[in-house]
Amino acid sequence: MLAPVGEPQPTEPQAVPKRRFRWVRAAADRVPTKWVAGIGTGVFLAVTAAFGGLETVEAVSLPELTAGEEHRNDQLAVTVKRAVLIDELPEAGVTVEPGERVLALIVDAENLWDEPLPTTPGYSLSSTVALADDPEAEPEGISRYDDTTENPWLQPGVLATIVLAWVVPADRHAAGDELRVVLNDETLFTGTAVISGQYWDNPVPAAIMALDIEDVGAGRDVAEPDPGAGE
Amino acid sequence: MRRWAAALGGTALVVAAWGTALVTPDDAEAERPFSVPVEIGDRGEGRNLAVTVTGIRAADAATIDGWDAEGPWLIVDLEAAAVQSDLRATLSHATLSVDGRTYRASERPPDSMFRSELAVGVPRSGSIAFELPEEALGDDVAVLSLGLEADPRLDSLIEVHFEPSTLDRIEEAELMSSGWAR
Amino acid sequence: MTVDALTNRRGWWRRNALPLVGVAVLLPATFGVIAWNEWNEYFSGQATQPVVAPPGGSVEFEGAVWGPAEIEVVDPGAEFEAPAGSQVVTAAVPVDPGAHAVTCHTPTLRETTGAQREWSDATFDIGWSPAPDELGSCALTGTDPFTITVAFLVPLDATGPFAVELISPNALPRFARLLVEP
Repeated sequence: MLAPVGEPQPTEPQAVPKRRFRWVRAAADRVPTKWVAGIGTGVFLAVTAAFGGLETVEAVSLPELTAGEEHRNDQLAVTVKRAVLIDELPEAGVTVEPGERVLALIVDAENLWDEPLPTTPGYSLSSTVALADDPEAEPEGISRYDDTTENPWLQPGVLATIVLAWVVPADRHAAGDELRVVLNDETLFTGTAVISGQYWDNPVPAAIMALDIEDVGAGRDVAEPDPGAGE
Repeated sequence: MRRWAAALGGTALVVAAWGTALVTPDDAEAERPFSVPVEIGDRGEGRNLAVTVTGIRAADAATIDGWDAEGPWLIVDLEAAAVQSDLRATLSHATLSVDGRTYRASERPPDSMFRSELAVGVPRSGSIAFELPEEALGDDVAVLSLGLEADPRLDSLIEVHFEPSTLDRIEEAELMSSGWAR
Repeated sequence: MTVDALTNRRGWWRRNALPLVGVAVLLPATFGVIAWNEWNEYFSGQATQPVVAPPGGSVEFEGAVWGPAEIEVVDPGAEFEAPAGSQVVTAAVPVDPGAHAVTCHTPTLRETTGAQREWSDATFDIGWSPAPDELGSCALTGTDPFTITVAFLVPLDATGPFAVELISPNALPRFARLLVEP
């Protein structure tokens, strides 16, 4: 609403601060604005240099595990047992093109949460076990070691041996190479608004391990429960 | 007089607001499934699902159609039918709750009623298998929940309460082949 | 409270009578329009508006003439034995496409009274083999008249009256409901 005509207009009080702060304007006018960009750049470079410059940041040192050692968090107990290079592994749900092979990790997993966990891409084991060289590449095939059930659910407190498979260029790895595997911890979130229930997300590296890659050629032993038992 | 009336009114409104906030159900409560409790052997009927659990067995190993696996396993034999429509009528929710943990029916057996299609008014029979840790079978309280949607919110759930510890444990149990019940 | 204050208060209501009436009308109208809009959008994708053919009669729908629909209890043959308490019913719907070929899904069978139960095609489940010239839907048909024949597995307690319902995807939310002569 408009102020009623005849009320005193607050002209006087405004005029006073105008005069009082005139010196600020005067000082600001003398600042050489051309320098501002230069000074800013200099400060940025100095701060960057103080933190180590543009050099790659050294990874926070993670606990080193060896093959067969268990990694435990609130969601899962994971034991990476073997790393295997094989020509093809349709049982794990992966198909290879010529010039490709399958890199498979054989992992014992136990669900330590109180709800069943899916192993489909983006969930539980898929986000927990990653290759250090290519941590964004989730396994393309996940299946049980014993009966080759694809993308099995992990029931609370039930141990399962799972095969995680990645398709890799045939010449990337060789027998005896060291494969570095990162094990992530995830955080439990409670859904809000349109998301209902609880879910694990935000994988953060928690441990790292090195395994020697075995090459089993066209071998069938990966899909068999007890490799080499009859030999 | 006006002052105390206003104070009283204000206090009453604050108390009423507090009471309303207190009795407002939270999301989980507001979306809770409609439970239909039923005994073993009795028919339970929900929105579009009618189930009779005909038996519950505990075993060290489970087998069907050449597949077998060490457990322990809890095998639920049941008859199930759709009630109103067979569109999207699959037995997609099957969980077992024991001691604060929830187990989901196993997708491992090659033949199981879990996620199978149901017919309207003509029951099918078969088994559902739960792969459990040893301690779950020793517990005194378990709740079996069966429903049509994997997401059970706001739909009927047929629920059977039973005592796993009283079940006779057998070495190997064969799942029933899924088929028409009669 | 003085008399003056009271008259003042009544005065406020009277002064704002028009806006108040406006609020009283517009507020419910807003919710009404939004709800109608949302439901309308939802229903427009669902089979909600039946185009009904009378029992034993036919109806024009999507430029074609559908019906009269007939159902028949059949012996499914040696391949399949109907479970106890059920029978196999086939429905036949003659279709005259007219000038253009028509599209439709496999028809469903519905009880038109009681719970309005609905059955989908069970031809495959019961291993029933229709004659070579009997079609399950409007797929790959031209402008020549043809007959759709589908088998349903129906419990004996479903005694009708029945209707055969046909959905033509482009016609939604309209669909053909062909009542069957009892």
